[in-house]
Amino acid sequence: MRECNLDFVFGRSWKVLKYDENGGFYKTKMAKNVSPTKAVDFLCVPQGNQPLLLMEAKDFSLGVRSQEKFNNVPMAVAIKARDTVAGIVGGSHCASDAGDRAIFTESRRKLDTPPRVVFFFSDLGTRLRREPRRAMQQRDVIMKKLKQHLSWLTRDVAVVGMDDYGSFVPDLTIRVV
Amino acid sequence: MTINGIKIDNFTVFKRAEIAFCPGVNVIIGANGTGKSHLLKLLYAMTQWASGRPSNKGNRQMIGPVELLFLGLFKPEDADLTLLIREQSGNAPAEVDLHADGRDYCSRIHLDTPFWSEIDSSIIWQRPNAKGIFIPPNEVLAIYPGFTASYEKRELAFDQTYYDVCKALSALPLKNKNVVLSRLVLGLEDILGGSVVQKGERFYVKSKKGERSLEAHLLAEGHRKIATLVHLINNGSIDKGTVLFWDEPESNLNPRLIRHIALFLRELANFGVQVFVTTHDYLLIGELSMAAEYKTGPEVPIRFLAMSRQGDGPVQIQSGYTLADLQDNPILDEFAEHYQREQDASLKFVAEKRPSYAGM
Repeated sequence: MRECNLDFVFGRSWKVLKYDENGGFYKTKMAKNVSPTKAVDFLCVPQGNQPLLLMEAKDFSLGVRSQEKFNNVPMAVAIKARDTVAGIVGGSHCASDAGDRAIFTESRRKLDTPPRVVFFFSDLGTRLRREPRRAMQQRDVIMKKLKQHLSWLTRDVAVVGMDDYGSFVPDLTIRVV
Repeated sequence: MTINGIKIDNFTVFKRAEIAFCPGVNVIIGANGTGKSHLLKLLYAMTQWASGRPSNKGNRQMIGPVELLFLGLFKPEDADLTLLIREQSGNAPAEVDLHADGRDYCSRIHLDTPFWSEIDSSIIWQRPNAKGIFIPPNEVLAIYPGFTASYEKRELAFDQTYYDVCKALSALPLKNKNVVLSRLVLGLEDILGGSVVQKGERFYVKSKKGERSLEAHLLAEGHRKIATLVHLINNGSIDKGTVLFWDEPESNLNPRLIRHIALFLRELANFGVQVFVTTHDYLLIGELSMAAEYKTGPEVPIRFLAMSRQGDGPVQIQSGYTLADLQDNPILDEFAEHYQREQDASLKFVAEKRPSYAGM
């Protein structure tokens, strides 16, 4: 599944919906009828007792759109998570595609426990930002802000990069296109 | 003694505040001018007066122990205690109630101004045998020689917390030391590279490696702070049942030492010392929040308090068990703003040097 300039390859232990794709429930039913609304990139249902995963990816490494600000990123991700949780409820009843509806239904069941929110973040590719300790420091700030904004939903929040996403999302491979 | 809560009315920046504390580590954050140090000093003051002290009720001319303590801690201009009463309160008094040891067991101070030039104070209290120790932001070992004698005779610019901690430092080490505290001291001595020795009015760090002892003036300021802690533990000033008030522990400390201090505070709390700290430090709050969230190390209750103000308005207080529970976190906000400024600077720099790279 492609997002930004990255390919996300989820293994068999996941059932994944590219939640914000064209033609899907989110675009055709939810966003069309209640706007503005936002969505995470991936809705991931794991096997077993693992929590539901809401995953958002942002890649600043090739530049930043003028309206995108570092400071707004944690709130933006939190809003996407919030709206996606609402979308899960709606999708479990109203998604047209039976396969999608099944994923929504399973996601809703999984929400008996707090979900995991993972934000994959590639920062600006400047020399200073590429310095590994600097990158970790910035991820720490984003994570703390994101936890603050998501304290109503979950404490299970992670901000990951290319070097460590595997620790938080097993059976996933991310490749730069 | 364990302080459970405090109720403050019309005192300095506090219009009305009712704050609950935990028995472990209480971490107070907030921008400058939001009353963090005032809160700390107020809590410290409430632990300070000895049982049996008479009240001043009815005697408006006498400056009693309560007034002296408040004058010493807060140093209002011209020794005018009415300055401690919140400006907009009119004739309403300032009142502070302390609740401790899990019961309706309070110390109260009441500052009143029926006339602008007079002050009437009375105490309604049942004070426990509390022991409080206040460590001010600036280290004291360097000023220690002759300080207490000078403070008793002369008007010095230091507030009473400096005098009190120097008085506490004057006590010699105990003969029998608690095993747990000894272990904590060993950890601090590892940081110093030696043990703390007092000779007369001067303190020294006696090297573990057999090198020459270093006098306090020759130590780094951060190490003098650590040495202060060592001596206060060794002489029993910090012990089980003590309440420790530490204003900005991070000042003069290299970031590398902050996680040791965070662990030290939790270990102290685990031993039975209730801790109150004010801080502006990202690392310190991060370490403590991490411990609270992921239950690392000694499991002690930790509580975060965020103080904020809109302009000259009254202080608002939020509390939580981790940083994520606080919406007002000026430390985190400023770090995020910093990275935003850096992003803006990076993009501007890149746009000027490599036009094809900027934006997408």
